[in-house]
Amino acid sequence: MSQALGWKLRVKVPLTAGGELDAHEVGDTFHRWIQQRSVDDVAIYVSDYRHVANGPEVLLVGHATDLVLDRAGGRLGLALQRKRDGAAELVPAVHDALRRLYGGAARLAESLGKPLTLFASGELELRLTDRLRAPNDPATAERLLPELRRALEPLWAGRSFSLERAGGDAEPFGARATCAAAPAIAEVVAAAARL
Amino acid sequence: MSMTTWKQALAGSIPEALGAEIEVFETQIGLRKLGRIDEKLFAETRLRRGVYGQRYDNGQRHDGVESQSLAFPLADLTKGPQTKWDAPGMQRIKVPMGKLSSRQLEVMAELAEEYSDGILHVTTRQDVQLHHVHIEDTPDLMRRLAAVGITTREACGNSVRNVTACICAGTCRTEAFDVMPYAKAVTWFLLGHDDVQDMGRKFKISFSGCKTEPCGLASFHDIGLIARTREIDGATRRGFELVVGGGLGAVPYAAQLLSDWVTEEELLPTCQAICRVFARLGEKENRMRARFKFLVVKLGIAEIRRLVAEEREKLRPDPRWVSYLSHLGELDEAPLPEPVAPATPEAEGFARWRATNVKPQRQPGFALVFVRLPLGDFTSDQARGVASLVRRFTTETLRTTVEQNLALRWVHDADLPALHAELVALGLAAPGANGLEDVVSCPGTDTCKLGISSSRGLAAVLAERLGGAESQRSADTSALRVKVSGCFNSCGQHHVADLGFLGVSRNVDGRRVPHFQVVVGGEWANNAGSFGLAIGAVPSKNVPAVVDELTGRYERERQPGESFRAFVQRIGKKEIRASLERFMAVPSYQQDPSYYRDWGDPREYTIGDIGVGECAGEVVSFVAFGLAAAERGLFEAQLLLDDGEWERAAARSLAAMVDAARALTRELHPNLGTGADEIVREFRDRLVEPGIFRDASAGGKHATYLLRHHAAGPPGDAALARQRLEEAQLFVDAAHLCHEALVARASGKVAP
Repeated sequence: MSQALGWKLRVKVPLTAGGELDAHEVGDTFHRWIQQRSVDDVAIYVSDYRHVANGPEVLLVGHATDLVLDRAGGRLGLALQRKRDGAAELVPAVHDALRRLYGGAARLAESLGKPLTLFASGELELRLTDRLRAPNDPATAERLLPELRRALEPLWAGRSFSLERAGGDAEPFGARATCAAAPAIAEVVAAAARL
Repeated sequence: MSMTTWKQALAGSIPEALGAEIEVFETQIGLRKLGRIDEKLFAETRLRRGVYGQRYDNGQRHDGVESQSLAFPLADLTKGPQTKWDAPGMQRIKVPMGKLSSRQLEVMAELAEEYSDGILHVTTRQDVQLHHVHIEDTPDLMRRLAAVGITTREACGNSVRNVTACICAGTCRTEAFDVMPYAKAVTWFLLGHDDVQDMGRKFKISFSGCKTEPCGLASFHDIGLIARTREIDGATRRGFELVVGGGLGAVPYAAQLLSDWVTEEELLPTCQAICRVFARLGEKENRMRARFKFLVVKLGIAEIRRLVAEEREKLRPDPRWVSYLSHLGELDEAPLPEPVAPATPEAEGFARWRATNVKPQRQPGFALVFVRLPLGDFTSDQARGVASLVRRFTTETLRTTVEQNLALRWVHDADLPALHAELVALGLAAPGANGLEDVVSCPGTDTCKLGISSSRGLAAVLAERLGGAESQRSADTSALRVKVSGCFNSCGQHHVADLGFLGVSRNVDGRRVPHFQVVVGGEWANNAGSFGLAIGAVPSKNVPAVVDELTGRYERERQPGESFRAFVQRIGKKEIRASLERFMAVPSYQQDPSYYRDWGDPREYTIGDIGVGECAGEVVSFVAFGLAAAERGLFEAQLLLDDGEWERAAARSLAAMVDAARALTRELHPNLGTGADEIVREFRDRLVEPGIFRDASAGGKHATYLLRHHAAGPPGDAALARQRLEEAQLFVDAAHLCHEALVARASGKVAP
């Protein structure tokens, strides 16, 4: 399968309102995971961009995926970016990203001694960074929002959720999912692990 | 849904020449994966397209306890000596003269999101770099740039790098004239030129509009051009003072005057002649002595001057030397006819921002606005925001600067409050641009294979610390420049800073401790007029205190109007060192283990991750490149034949032979043109008839293949096309043997 056919995308779980994670501590944690050889990718860099406003504060850069403490859009959260070797179909690609994202969130919370409830259980931001495959236009929305909805359904135990296009026209195609009656974050993490 | 490629999607948008180059590179990637290109040749090939290596690309990374092997998928494939194929790299994007359009910036933002980490980085040579890019993404990345008029060709490697120019050109009070069209002419004339393909090392050219301001930094460039005018026969003529042989690196060399007057008409041929002299006579074996500055010192400026004049006389006339003079005004910029938001109230912080980030133009009512980028970094979202501001407030007047910032020119004074407010919303309104708290840094140990200490880690700490105390400083102190290099190679330009730091390592009781050598009193003004003094090394964790000490002393002890450089010279190196002695001690590991870790990195410090740098590239001769192009042509011909396209295969086979012939013939005839008739004729006259192109088994038989096929024209059927391809392969094989013979002759040895 050609590299070019795999989906490139980004999923982000924001922190709950008022929640904070210290980028310095997160960076140290990423370094420890590398020492422990416990990263599910070839982990190469821990990049510090705390000096940049509303950006990726600290990244665990891997060969195929990055795990990012991210403040894009002014909201701090944890993001998983799939850069290469992604699944050719969107639903499995999203599922893989969600497994890694929520698994990363759980592990990070545990490593830092923070409650898992730091992460919002009923919110998710998605971005499809492959502009060739998913240009940011109404046609993409019509084509892919239903697939994204299908991908997210198992995450919140069948509870209803909204899925809307998000982000500016010049940005990659994005969507925001909100589940008002989401189960507890621990259940969401468990559901993601089963995807 | 059918899958489109970027090549298909952008068909018609990419200039033909740029597209062809990218296709060549993509083919070379394919050939390297098949093991059909030597790794050194491929390394220099990709470097010449700005595809650079990064730290850990040898597959090893020290995790603070031990060195780990990085299990990249294609474990045995390399993209250069000791460089793993799958290891992320850096893509350097040339921005000639720093001039960037809003659309180009938007495309770079897209590329950063899709292929990199969402961050764009501005360098000290006005380039933009994207980090953590996979090599297999680079052809599409290049296509998307080409579609908006950007080439990455010769961004790295042993060739002419990005031509930099004063960002105030056209608006500066002290300039002789606007140097931008001249810098552009030199850029495009030398790009891909034969005479810059055989250099032993990189070559850097800069343009300055005047002598006293720093913008062009002529004194540390291989060629520095400073605009000047003369009255000749009652008319004001434009020309340049031309200096050569400058360079920073481990030991800085100031450029020397080659000519105090080079006319507009002679600008391009003079640059070409200088490049030829360097390509011909520059050191190619010892990489540490291969820069042009060493040749200038070795031969002396008088001899260099003579050699350049002699080479100039031999050059084949080229209409491009003067054709650009008929459209000098095409880069002229103008403001919007009216301010767009004149009634906007001033936001908090406006006054300080205006005092530090806004420079009045010589045209009344207009300003050049600096957008300060922390460590030269900004996000894709910020880049898109800046692009919108460029379109809203200017007529596309954006620049990247050598101090790792952005600049917008021709902003109406009345629009400054509105622009500031927009920059605040983007998180890009930090004041203090180009001053003390705007610390310049190379990438250092974050991503550079040669980094010794964390320059970015230190720079971030200094910027944060200095930014909080601006109200306690005088304007003189606030205007000081701090520059940090991660090693002695000076990519952070520490030699010309008021306070410069370069990364070094020291051994303390058997443990490695990151240090920085302190260099004080460099001169940024006067085109980087002089270099600083090295005082001594301090542990990295003490550098902030050193900065406090030196700036504090300057603040308290300077005389009225005294620059930091003059202050340093007045109080003397011994006195400064004495004041820094107490910062040089390193506590024991038990007392303070933080000294044994670098800024922003919790790992125990090590120099074990230092790799083989790619700044020096690989020395690959013009002939080697030409023969590689011939081999690639044969490969493509074979593929065409396999696809049944025998006519195109035949044409490609002939072109491959011509490529090989040109590569060899140019060794004996540097002015060889590019037309096939001339190449074949000169090849016959200079290599075939004297019996140079021959080998022990076939004699001169293989040479006849080119001569015959060139004369015969297109073959009539597929069988003849196949025959031509097979004979072309024999010809190119023979060309390799001939190359060996030429090398042996040149070195005085007898060829086998």
